[in-house]
Amino acid sequence: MREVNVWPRQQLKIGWYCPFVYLLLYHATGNIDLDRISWNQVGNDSIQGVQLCKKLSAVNSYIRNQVLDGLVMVSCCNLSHWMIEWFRIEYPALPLYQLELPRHIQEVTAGWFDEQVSQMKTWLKKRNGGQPPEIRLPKDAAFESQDDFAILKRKQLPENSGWCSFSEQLKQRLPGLSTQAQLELLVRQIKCPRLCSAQEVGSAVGFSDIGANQDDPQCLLQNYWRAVGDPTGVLGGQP
Amino acid sequence: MNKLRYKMDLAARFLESKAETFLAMYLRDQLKELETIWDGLPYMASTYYVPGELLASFDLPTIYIERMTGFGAASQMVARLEAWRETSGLPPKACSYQLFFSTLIREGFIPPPMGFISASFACDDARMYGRWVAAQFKIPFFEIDVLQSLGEKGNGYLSAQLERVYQGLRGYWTECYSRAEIVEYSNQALELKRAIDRMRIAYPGLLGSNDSLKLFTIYNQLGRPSTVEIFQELSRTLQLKTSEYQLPKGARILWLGVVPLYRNQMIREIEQRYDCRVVHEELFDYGEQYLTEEHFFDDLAARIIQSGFFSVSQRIKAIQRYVELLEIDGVIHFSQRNCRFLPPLVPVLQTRLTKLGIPLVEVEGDVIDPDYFNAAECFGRLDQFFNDKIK
Repeated sequence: MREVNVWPRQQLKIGWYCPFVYLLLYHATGNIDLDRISWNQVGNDSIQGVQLCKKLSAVNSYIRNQVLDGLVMVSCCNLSHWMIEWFRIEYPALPLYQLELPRHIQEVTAGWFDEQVSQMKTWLKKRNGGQPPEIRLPKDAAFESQDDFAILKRKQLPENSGWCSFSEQLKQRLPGLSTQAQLELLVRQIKCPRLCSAQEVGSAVGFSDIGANQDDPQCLLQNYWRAVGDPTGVLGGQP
Repeated sequence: MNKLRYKMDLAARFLESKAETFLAMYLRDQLKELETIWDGLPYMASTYYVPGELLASFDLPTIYIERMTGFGAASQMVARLEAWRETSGLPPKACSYQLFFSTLIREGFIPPPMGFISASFACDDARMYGRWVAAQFKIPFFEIDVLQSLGEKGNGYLSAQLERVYQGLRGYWTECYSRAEIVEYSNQALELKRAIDRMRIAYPGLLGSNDSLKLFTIYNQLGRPSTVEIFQELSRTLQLKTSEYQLPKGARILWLGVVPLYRNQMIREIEQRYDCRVVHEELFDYGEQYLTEEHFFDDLAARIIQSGFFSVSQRIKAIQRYVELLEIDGVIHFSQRNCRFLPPLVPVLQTRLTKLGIPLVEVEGDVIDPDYFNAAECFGRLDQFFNDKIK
């Protein structure tokens, strides 16, 4: 795990680990530095007897070492949902933002993603001493140019085995799309064990780069995903 | 004769002989539905929080997996459950409820379902299991995604999904009850339940916790006429008991979580051993959201969102309410092995309840598989709790 106090505290440092979060945070860079939390190399930790997955183990370690000014988490599963509550109690001074990701975008109204972006901006503003962070793009705007998109490439992206990461193919498709269209694309195609059942038939990103030894024994979503195999080819009756 | 059918019939007759009529009626009602399945009618498998009213409209038998598994485990239908895991294809950490249900199918006690419907609340793992079952049998999978952190703002999203699933079911089955009838039966049952709850508050311990924990899954049958009859019978039974009611002696305990199903006298064991009385259980608590025809799906969504389990603050609030109303002295939380729904919340509950001056003890085990329940360890922890924390 990372060393403590290696970061010169000149900018607000916000931790993140989910590609969906990154996409929203991307619009709020400037005087905010994003710190990707990697979990692929960590073991499984526990809190008061509650066994944690690798992802939450890494998050717990970051929080414990106090290297962040804020953290954006996602409700991936039952466990992560409750652990956010636990972190709020144990670390009341640490700002936490909880992002919810819908599995069924057909039931999500157009304002959904705008609201998420708006709420996150407000949250970041509070973290930033009441000053609005430099928001690069307004809501619903497309990535303006290939140069802007380069930030997405330059910044560290999650490289946590094959889970929760962008594929090259997906990255190529994002520029030129509106925020909402990008997110809808991600919902359908990201390598996310939470959202896999919403993926498009025939266009879902493969998981072939995940070695068996990289699976997390404590992540039931991953394990069930593996048990099912192809998540999109067999569920013909999905209404 | 199917062993499951035999055991269920035997249990119903046993309850009838003991004049535990409401439980016997509940069991007979389930047996009646299972008979149609054994006779060849296709059925839908479902997880616990999928509203019964969503399915009650249709001429469609439904097996709620937790309830079916609960009876199967209590009747010890499957021995050495863990031995089945390796060949089941289920993940090593999958809940034993799920393994047990799959084993019931595999052993031929029940046929495979023709569809599976599941909600991500309360148990997201159960949703994944449903998807897995659907993939195994190549059957339709109906999924309801619940976004818990949004609170009431998530109503529209949830309501739209409930309606989508309902419309999807209409494509397969004909409706045998009108919306008006479903609403009427559901509201009647909830009204009776409200009266029952009032009696339970006024007379702590009037309804034994063993009975409550056997009956709470009737939540899955809201919207059916038989549920109204069962609640009428329970209400009548409790009213009769009030005439000879005596205040419970000793410490008053609130029970959180589940109870080992193969050891269904465990609560009585605890009450006798520690001279206490378990006076309430959170699982038999459904909230009071009535339904309307006009806002049917919104109301169903609202009921899920109002559940005490929906957020930490709602659960703490509900616990606090019972602590005050029933003058609770301590809380026992039984945590299910490999469960990611209730046990991860125990550290949070422990912290919050300690601040409120309410002692809590967590005991653990597998409520389905007796091979993973260490009675000595469990009672050792309870000994310490009652000696040190309960006055």
